[in-house]
Amino acid sequence: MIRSANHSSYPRVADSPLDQQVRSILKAAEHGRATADEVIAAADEVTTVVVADQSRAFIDIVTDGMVRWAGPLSHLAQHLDGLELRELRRWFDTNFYERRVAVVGQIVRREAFLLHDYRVAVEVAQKPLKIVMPGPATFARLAKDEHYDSRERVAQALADALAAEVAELAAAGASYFQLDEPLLCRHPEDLELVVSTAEKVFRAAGPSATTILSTYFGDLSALAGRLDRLPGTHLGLDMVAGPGNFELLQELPAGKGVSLGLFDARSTVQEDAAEVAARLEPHKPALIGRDVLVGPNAGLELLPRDEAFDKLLHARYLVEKLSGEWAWA
Amino acid sequence: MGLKTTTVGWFPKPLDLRRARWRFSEGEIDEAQLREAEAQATRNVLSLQDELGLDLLVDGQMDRSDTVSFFAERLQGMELAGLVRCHGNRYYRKPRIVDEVARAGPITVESWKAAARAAAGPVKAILTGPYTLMDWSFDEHYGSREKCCMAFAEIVRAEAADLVAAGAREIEIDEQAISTRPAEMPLALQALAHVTEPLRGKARTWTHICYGELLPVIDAVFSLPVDGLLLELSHAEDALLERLVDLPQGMLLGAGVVDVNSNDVEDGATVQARVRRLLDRVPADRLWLMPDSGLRGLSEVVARAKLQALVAAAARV
Repeated sequence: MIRSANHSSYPRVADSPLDQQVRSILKAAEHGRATADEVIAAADEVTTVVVADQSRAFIDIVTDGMVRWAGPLSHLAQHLDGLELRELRRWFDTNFYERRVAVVGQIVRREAFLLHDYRVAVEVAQKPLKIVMPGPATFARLAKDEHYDSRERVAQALADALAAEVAELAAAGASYFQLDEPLLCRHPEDLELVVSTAEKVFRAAGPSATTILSTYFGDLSALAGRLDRLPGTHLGLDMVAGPGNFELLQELPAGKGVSLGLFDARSTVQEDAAEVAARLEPHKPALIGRDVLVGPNAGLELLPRDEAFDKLLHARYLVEKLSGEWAWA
Repeated sequence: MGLKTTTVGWFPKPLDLRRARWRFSEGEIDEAQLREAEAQATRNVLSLQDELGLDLLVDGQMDRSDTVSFFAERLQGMELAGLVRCHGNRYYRKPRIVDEVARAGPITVESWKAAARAAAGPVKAILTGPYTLMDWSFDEHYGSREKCCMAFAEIVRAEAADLVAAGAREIEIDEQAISTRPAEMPLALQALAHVTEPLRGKARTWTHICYGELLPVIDAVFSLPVDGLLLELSHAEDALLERLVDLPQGMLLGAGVVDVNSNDVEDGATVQARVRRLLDRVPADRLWLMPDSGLRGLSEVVARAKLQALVAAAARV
């Protein structure tokens, strides 16, 4: 089976003044002119808009667009004890910056931090809604540890917090979960840490959940021969920034699903579905018997909204094309 | 005697100017009225810096929207794409490169000249560097980061030459993105050299770098072909500070000692402590103090207070 899937974030703001609710309300809140409830209401409204955008593109697996996330990691600091926000730092080699998270005490989940987002989004989603969370190993590498004196302990503590969140989400009906571990591409030596933390988080989702371990901003060539170690029902691979991943497709374990990031979330150049299909053609034998998800290679928030929408459209075109042309098992 | 002080360009846009920009976008005022509002805001910013006692002034970039799109709007071969979030609640209109980039004529010279006429002290001209122009745009034309970067280098070189011809003797070439990809440091260096080479002996050149991982590229940063570095250092970790002892002889360091992403105004002791950490490694005659980056995200009140703290710290040395 082949389906289209949004990777994670989606632009929360677009050019029209009507599409800048979140921006305006946050600015007002900064100056004491809007309440926390008003900020939540605006984020709720925008969540429904971005889910609707994905529905308009006929995407098979949507997300809530992560419209409340200040940054891929820093969002956690608002909801977990033991974390503080520090200076701005660049997010990988993008044009996006977020405050670095410092671990200053024991990481403890103070409150549910994705449940409300999920409930708002699932209310309007026509298709399965995927929950996206930062991977503990990537978090532990990028955070400044001033408490545990151990990267592994930071990662395990975050995994405990995420597992508790996932358990609540699963109880509320969520069944698609994604853990983002981009740094595994650059630090294959973190394999066992990724394995143990992701297993912990995915276990909390229950046996019937779809669980995606997403890697991006590089390839997993260094883990050739060890891909079977990676937990999750699906492995997420970046085929744009990590073209070396194409060669790895043939060694995916039997029965393992794959989430292919084929559309460049950092470029306004729109990929042609036929060209992308042609690139996949040599790998058809490795894909045909699997559950294959296709979509952008990373969060779409790095693009203007119109361009992000078009990326999803092209992913859908690819699905239509390959659904018709390949004989899926 | 004290340490010298400067800023890195951006000041908060005052309410009157923000209103004027809004009214212009709605067609309620014409371009001349907008330009006058910008000119007034510029004069106010210059007065403020003079009043506070800053040594090297800036025009506050009252006529610019952001680091890259201001130039993109004025260059051939570029268009503005939609809004893209760059951090927190900040967005910019990330440009797209759709053809060969080219400069029809000077872009910043007239506004620099106006500021220089209105200022009591020297005014630093500010340009965005070629690597940052390339890295903060969507390339739909070149397909080669090297070609794209060097095309921008040609443009910035011409603009800098025009500024020097107009009398500018202090030129800051902002390269906030320079540390993005360590492997591309040689390209960034080559592009910046293309800009600064002709300026040698004619103007003092600076480059501003912020919010990236500096430590892995610090040797390359020290080799940049400029007279002074303007670095965000308020929260610098010890490992980076230790490397400041290797600042090349003759190179100046503008060091950020107040955080521009926090509305909390640092007290004197905090700024003093940051200055002491720097003075342990950099000779006082080569050390300038500044905010970590542009002040535009702050309110005017907070920006003023932070500058006061900075100037006070500089005076105590």
